[in-house]
Amino acid sequence: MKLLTRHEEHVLLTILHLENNAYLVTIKEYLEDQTSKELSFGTLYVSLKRLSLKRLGKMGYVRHQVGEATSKRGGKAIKYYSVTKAGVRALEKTREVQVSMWNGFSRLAIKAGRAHES
Amino acid sequence: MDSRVWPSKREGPMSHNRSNLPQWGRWFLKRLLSEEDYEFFSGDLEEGLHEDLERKESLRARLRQHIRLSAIIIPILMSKVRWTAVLVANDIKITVRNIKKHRIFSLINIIGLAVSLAFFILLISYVRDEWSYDRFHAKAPRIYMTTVEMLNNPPAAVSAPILAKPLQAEFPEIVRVARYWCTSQAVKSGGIIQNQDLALADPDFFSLFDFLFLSGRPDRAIDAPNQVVLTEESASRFFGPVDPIGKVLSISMGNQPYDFMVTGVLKRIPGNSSIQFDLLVSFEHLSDIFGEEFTGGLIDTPFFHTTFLELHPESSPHDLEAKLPGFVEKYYGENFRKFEMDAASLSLGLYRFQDFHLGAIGAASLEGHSRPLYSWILFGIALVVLLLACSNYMNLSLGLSSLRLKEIGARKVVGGGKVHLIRQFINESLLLSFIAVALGAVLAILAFPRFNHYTGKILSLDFLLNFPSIAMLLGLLLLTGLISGGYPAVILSGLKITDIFSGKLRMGGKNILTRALLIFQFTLTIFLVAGSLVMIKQIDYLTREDMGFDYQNLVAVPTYSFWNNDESGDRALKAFQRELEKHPEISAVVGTNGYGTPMGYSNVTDYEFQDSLVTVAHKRVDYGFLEALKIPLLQGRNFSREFPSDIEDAVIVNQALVRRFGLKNPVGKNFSEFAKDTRPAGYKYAPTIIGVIQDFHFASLHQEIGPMMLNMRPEGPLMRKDP
Repeated sequence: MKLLTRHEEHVLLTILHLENNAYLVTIKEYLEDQTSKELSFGTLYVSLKRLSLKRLGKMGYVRHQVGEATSKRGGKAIKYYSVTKAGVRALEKTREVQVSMWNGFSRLAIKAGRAHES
Repeated sequence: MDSRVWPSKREGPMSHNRSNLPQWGRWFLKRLLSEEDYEFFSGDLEEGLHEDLERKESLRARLRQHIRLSAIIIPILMSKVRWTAVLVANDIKITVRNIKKHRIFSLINIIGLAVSLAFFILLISYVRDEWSYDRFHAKAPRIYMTTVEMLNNPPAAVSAPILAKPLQAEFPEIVRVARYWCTSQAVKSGGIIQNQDLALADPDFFSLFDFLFLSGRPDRAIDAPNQVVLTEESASRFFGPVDPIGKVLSISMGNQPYDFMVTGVLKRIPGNSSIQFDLLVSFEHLSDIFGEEFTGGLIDTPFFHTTFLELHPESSPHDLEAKLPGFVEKYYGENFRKFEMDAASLSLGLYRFQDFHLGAIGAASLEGHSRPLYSWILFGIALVVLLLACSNYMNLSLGLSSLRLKEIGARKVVGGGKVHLIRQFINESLLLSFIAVALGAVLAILAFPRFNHYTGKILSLDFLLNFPSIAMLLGLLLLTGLISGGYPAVILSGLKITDIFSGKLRMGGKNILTRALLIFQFTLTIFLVAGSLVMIKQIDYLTREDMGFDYQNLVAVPTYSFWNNDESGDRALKAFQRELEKHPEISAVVGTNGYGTPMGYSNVTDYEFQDSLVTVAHKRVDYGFLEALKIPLLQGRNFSREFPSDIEDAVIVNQALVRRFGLKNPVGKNFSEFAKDTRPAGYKYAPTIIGVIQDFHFASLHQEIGPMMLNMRPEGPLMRKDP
């Protein structure tokens, strides 16, 4: 399994956090809040598209269902995203790698800081 | 609330809000996203950019809106481009692998296509040249030549020098007139003496035709006598790289040298021009060449040069033509009556100059013409060859694709769609045909000098570089690629996976299209082979047909003016003959006068015979002509110095003439006994037959050998008036 990129990881986690209210606008707002970085709708759209792609017969990482149209949206229907099992597994795998990579970081950081001072 | 009824229910009552999204943004998104995705995404944008999208008054705010929108669209666009590029790169990779895997097949395919494309390009360049003759003059559609039809001679685009002025005076619809004649004269500059094609023309010649001046002024170049315009080639022949303007060269006219000052140099005259010359001087010098001014009427002035006229854009050539008989009667009626002739026996006409090259009318001063049928045949062959290559390609592709069934199957199993398979096949054949077109163009360029040599034309491939030709080549490429790749693509992509892997599938052979293609190919091939066989026979006929004279080791030296029409010319020829005869390698030197080729005739006369007109060709020859060319004398005797009267009154005729006039004992008969010369009084010629020779070809092999007489009487390109 390929590791997720940082951006993909953030998008998947956001969808999990938002539970039943994850669609393009809310995902964008949440991500911008958390990272305090502006994000383009286009970029987000492309990542979601890629995350929902089926790979070689396997499930995509996200799936979507169609919701109601509202006047706020110019009468257009809404597309809610949710993370699939495959998506959750990918997140777990990424986390494992991250945990092992970050393991012992504080100790090593202090050591590196000291070495630098002397 | 807007009460209008909206065409689609899906869009709901608030749909008018979506106009907040700028037009161009919607345009892009609609093309980038699927219809469904566009709905969701634009909805998200409406909601998310709610405040941003409100109508802003200030320019800055509006500009910011557009920038924000671009920031949204660009990532989508880039991802689209990136993945398309990946797909195409993959297609190319697979194609290259396939070409490598089936080297022989690809080689046959590419080379077959390339050779036929090269062939196509060459033939088209030839046909294009044929069809473009004389059309480079801006006024070409309005330029006409006067023609003349007299007695039973076919009409010819020749004119008498006296015609131009009355024509222009009489008809306001004629904008300008220019007389033009091309002859061969000796030209001398420094130590160089050469016979050159000397043109004589009226000053308006350069306002009628668009010959480009490299130096000099078109309106002043030949407005005075003793000025000469050179072409790029003749300028460098006589003056080398030096600027020739203001330099002097000497031109022989009527065996007298005249000095001319160079006033202009023309750019090389295009190969597709019927007007070709080396030097051009004012038409006023005509009297220097002939030694006389032409002042008579239509009967006693020779028709030999061309008169060009520019017609007013709004007047019709047919209307003008209809007025010409009245014109002839008005200006020349008197002249006809003087020679006891009917003015109606001569009719003037008009012929459009740009139709001359592919037309059927003769003009002595212009280059020869071609038959339009030949161009069409070549055009047809070019198309047939291209079609053959395409159908050959299709067949080979179909045959080969059966070897690729497994690849297609595998692609289908992993989810390769029909569209993707078709695209893969078409991309492959486009790549192959691109290689073939490039190779074909290179082949055509390499073969071009030989082709030029073979066709005797000065063609240029420059036309390949202009926009329509590039468009044509690209179109050809697309067409070949789509046709030859499209069919296999559609057939193969439509196969069922189970059929592919069951191994029962057979491609080719049983297929109707494959069979049709094969039949088509064989038919065309048989047609082409048969055509070539006929051509080989024709060429064989041309090279093997007995000409009736011996042309082995025969050299013709054109001496032009010398032998034509006066005694000083004859004296010069005699001196030349004496010099040549000193060489032991030369067995005989004889003079003759021939129009077109040295063995051609020099003039014709119409004789009335049993209520019909018989055209008899004259050919002026020298003592010893028959021996030198090994033409058998069947009856009577040859010309001899023992009979001084031979020069004026004796002729030797051919068998065709004896047959045509039904002569029982031709030798000793005078022409007046059996035929009546139709020429006006003073020009009549009734010689006595002293011998009969076997027929020889004096005209084109296309023509039957007609009646001919050999004589020794000096007779120029014009009819000679008896003293």
